[in-house]
Amino acid sequence: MARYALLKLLYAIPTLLSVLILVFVLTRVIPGDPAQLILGDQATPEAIANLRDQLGLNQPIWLQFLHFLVGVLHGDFGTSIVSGQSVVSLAANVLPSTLELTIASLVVGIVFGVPFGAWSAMHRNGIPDIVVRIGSLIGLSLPAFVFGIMLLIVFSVQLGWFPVISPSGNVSLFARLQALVLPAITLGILMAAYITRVTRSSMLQVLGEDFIRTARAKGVPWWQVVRRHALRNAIIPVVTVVGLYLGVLIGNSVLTEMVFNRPGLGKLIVGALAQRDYPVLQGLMVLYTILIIIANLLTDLAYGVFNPRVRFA
Amino acid sequence: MGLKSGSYGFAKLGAAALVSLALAQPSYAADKVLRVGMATGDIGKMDPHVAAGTPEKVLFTWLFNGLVRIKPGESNPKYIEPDLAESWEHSPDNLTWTFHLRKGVQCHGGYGEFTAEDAVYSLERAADPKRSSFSSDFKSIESVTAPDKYTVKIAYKEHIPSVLGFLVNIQGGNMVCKKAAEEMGADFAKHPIGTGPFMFKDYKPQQEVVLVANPTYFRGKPNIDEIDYKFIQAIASRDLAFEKGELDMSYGQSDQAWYDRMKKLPHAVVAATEPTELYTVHINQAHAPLDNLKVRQAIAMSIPRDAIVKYRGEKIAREAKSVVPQGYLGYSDAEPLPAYDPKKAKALLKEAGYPDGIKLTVVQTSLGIMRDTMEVLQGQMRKAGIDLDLQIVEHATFHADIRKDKSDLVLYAASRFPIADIYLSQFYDSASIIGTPTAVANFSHCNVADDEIRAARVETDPDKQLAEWALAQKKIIDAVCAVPVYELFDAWALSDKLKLGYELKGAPTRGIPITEATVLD
Repeated sequence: MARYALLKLLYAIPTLLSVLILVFVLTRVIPGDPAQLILGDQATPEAIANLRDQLGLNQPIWLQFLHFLVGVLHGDFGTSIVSGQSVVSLAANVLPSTLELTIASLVVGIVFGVPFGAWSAMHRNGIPDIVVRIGSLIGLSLPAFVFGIMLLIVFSVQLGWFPVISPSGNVSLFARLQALVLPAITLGILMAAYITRVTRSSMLQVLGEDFIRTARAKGVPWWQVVRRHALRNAIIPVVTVVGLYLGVLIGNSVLTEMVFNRPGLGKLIVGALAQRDYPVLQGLMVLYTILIIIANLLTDLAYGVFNPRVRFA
Repeated sequence: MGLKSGSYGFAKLGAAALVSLALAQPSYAADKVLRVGMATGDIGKMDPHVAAGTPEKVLFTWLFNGLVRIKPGESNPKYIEPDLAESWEHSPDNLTWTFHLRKGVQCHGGYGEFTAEDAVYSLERAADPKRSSFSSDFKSIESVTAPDKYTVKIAYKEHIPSVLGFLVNIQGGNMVCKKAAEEMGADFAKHPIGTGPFMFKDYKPQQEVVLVANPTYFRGKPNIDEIDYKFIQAIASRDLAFEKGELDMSYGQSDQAWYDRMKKLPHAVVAATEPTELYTVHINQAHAPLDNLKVRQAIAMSIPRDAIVKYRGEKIAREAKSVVPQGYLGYSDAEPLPAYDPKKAKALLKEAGYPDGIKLTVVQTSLGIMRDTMEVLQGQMRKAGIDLDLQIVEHATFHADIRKDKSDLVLYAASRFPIADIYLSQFYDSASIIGTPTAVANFSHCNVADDEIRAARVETDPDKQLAEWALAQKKIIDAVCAVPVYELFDAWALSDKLKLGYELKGAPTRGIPITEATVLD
């Protein structure tokens, strides 16, 4: 298994390199001048040229790339040209918040998605099935901007249960968890919708298998058949979906972060794009790629846990 | 909602956790903490001589002083009063100015007394293109010297329209402490040191900047102990946080629906502050057929300014009257703007040789207010036979493209220090035409009023200066270099617990001053 993991990580190197090149070229191909954006619309061309020089933007692009690559190999991702903070510290500052939100949404997704999906499959074409299917469709189509604001209006403003603005700095674990509830539900609902649909179709397939009929014929109680025999087998495609959408979650978190005023990678990357903050964009893209590679690796390894037939050779 | 099987336990657990989390609220800090919400995801460099964005400018209002300032609550330069300088005088030819500094003013963080040396350093720093975004504002300075510890002497090479205007605590006029700036170098932008009523304490990326009261502030220690300047990008979230009382002051949205909604909240005071941003359609005369005066006149007559103000909101916008915003020193509405008349516009197009109308390409930013203004204009102008092909691009791309002459019309919104010279020089002096080495923001390639703009800049007789500025505005309007449409106020929601200590009409730095006298009940 260790060998398998190592191999997977080695495969990641060419992926990372291609991402690096792609991001480097793309950020520089799109119009927009960071120097102009930093100095504002009253700046003279002289001041802009000066700043471009200071930022090293007047060097040939291949030289800029080389500097960047050498930096990366030394673990130096440069400094933000907007705030002057180092890219590593910027990312390190917000990474815990992003991971916290991602994991919490994943939990919301699984806690709601798996039972609802199974429930729906067990009552195929019955009322529960219809309700769950409509529910998951709504979950898929509800943008965070609408759903998050709805949650805020009801649970924060009307009921006063949760803060609107996530507290910052060193707050108690309790306050941190409290501020996490609504964002996790907002982002998790999307995950829950995906998981519900996949669990449902996978369950339907498994429930039609011979061994289920055999188990029932043996007299095993229905709920035990579902839990022990059906769900265990139906869960494998769900693991795949969770793995695939983990990346989507990290990427989709930006709207949730904005609505709930949470720090996070999504917000950082959108801000960097608007300001054409090249070093931050590049650094974050590398980080994203690494996170997604790790997520995929974990998914692969998780197969083995749920299905002993999968062997890592 | 009922779940069969084992997942029931999960649901109960989840519900229990939700309720217990909901029961207790985090305790919000002590009484005198002013919580301000700003429309941004994060803050850039906190160096007043570098950052040009609104989020930074608002912050600088509380951290820094100038040699002079505009009286809190006002935005017009006629209210200039002493700040770090107690008094000043100038030579008979107006070219040498001497400022006498207040004694005993302390820099934040124990960096010692603010003296003439710091003032000289600040001005030299602001005038240096390598360290400042605003160096062009100080290009007429010949020398800045400190004859003694409390005296600053500024010698000018030529007359400038307002010496004091550039020395108020806006942009390059902000005074920094030399020792701090030199010791910290690039880190100064992460830990700004000034002399203002509040001192920098902490920065949490993407969340907030925390300021604390300056106990040695020369006008007295502020009543408010702390300012939490929170970055909340989404307007809906800012509004909800304000509604719930988690913010005492919130940067609003300049539209009537927002204004009306906030006004209904029982604890809200809604303010629309000057200086306004003037929304102007610049007509690119380098592109045919816009080099034809009749075509430009037709464009001007196809824009119903009053209808657009109604659309935007009458509490939050007002009709433009000239190519310079109202209330600026030198503003003149002596020459009326062309009246709305789509029939006449059509006739003019026909006379110009375009009986079937014209089609124009417009590069337009996707940014909210700018975009929907242009879409309204598109609908209105169609009635006069002017068809706009809007190419919507992201904001940074928009800024790059309009400076490459890619757009026939450029809708641009700007507020400047309220002196006519700055607006006229940046947008209508031919030296500022985009694409030239001295380019600023002359998108129309206008060159009809260079003589008047430049004469007014160095004129020492105030009446003659006003006359030159008025003539410049008339010439620009007559040549239809641009069509001013409306002026938009900055909008803020303030808690009624906040007593500013002055009447709020304007905020020239775009930040609402929190002074030593401001109280939070």
